[in-house]
Amino acid sequence: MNENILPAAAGGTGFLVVQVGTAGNAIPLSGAAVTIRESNSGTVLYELRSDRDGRTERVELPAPARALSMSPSEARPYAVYNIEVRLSGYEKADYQNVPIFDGITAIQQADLRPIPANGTSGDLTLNGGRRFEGEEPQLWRE
Amino acid sequence: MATLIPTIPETITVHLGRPEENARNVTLPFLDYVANVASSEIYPTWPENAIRANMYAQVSFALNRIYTEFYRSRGYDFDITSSTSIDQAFVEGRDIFENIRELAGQLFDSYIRRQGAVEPLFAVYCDGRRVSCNGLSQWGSVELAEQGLTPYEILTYYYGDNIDIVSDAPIANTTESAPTPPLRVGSANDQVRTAQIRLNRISQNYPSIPKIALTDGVFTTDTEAAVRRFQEIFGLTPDGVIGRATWYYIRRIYNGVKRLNEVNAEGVTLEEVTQQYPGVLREGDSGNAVANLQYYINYLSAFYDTVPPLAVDGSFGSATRAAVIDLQNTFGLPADGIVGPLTWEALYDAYLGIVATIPPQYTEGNVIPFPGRILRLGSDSDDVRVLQEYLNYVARSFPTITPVSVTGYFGPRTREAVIAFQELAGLPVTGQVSAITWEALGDLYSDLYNGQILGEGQYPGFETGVS
Repeated sequence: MNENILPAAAGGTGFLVVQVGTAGNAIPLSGAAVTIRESNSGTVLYELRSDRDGRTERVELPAPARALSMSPSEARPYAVYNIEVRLSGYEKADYQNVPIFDGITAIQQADLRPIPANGTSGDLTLNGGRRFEGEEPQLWRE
Repeated sequence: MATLIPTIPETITVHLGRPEENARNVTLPFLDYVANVASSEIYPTWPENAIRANMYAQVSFALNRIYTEFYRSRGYDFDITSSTSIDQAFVEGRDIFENIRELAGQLFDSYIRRQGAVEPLFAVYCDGRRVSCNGLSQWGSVELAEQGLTPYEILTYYYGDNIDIVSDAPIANTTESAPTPPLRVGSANDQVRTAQIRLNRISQNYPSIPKIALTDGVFTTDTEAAVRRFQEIFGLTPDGVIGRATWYYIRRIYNGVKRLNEVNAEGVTLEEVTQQYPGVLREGDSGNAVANLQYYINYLSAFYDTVPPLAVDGSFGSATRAAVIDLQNTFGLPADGIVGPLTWEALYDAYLGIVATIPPQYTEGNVIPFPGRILRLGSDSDDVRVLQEYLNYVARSFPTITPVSVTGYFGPRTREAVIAFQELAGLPVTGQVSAITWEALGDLYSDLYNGQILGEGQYPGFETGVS
């Protein structure tokens, strides 16, 4: 993470929907607890539950004004958030630095894995779950 | 050996690192890969013509890697990497932007081609600010789009005039293509029926999609309601019209739903599952223990995108070895391609966890497996009775099949019905029922039957309220 960036002025609004399921899109999971936090501070912004199609409601999140993304700039033209998804019987999933753009709806697919029997767990375990590190888009990487 | 005409693959395998690194491989539908790359490489706020131009280049780049078998011919078991210095950005598990997702559905089967050549263009591109290259400039494309250039004009600006955009490229292993013009209320044809059957099958898993009462190929208002709800759930423009993107996303979700069924249908019940370690298995082995191993790996592949699908053929060859290595990487085990007690335990525990956790309706196959002997004129058995019931049920939606009396005796009328089914399913027309015909018939029966089971709130003819 580049710490020398100018803070991106919030001036716009982006949108996020989280879709929770297992086996890819084959099985939607309802009742999953979805927590959305600001990436820097960890402040909880929303606590949601997935519906019977596995979807949360669409939520609004502050993001820098759209114009900032139209040409190369010093300031990051999008905002980042962390999303945590928990459902009993499934491995927890953590999505870090999820980019959100002004005027754009982002869909975060949360493809949960059933917890293996006898407590063994899959790759990238962190506190017994999967963690996905967001990567900076190529365009903005120093 | 590369095929002559480029086809669009159903799935692509992405290596999450440089080729020589021991990193995980992820296998996912090509449609999803295209949406991920675009969401990772460019900004979704850009003018649509710039986004399109970039996506044509990204798709062409990937198709070139696949068509030339660039990595596979060098002995790697993946199609492309996520390394941005040699391939293109792919971020596992990232969010996808709605507008990009929809565009992916429209152009994942298109690519740029140099006139006079066959292969997809190796469409090099770069950001155009820090790096320049002999190809598309990402930032440059924004400026050109703002000046009013079309995607094709933007591409010729960077790649030269002698290029074409090939659209509607054939998808590997199917003769199907997207409907033109789009399907809407008033349309009536086979593609409407295919979409109706698929939507009903999907609605088994996604109950807020209302059931379509008659899957007869006539696009009615209840078909429109189902389409619209599908679009809302999967982030497409909810206009109730089946254009390219909606068609391909219906297909994509349907394939995922069916795959889970297939993975189960071959299978064993929980009681039959054996935990007993079969002894060390390695390349060159064959037999039931290998088939069991392959079955479990294939089952896991539906839930772990880092474990690839595997044919269950009882023979431990190079594909099985590669899958075992992917499995070992997934569970943090030494990746030697040999199945010892630790690997077996990790595999088995994962399988048991899945079967114990997901709702039971997803683990039950609901079609009777092929009885194991060919049914033909003169056969007389309970299996023929089942065959006749399947044929009659299917005949309700497919008028070219004339219903038969369910007697258990395979007479001339049953033979006619079998022929009519084989014709409509594109199978060899033999008038006899072997495993392939039985499975295709059972498959269709399952879709139609499941499509008619009403879940709570799924009354045909009513629009369900938005939840």
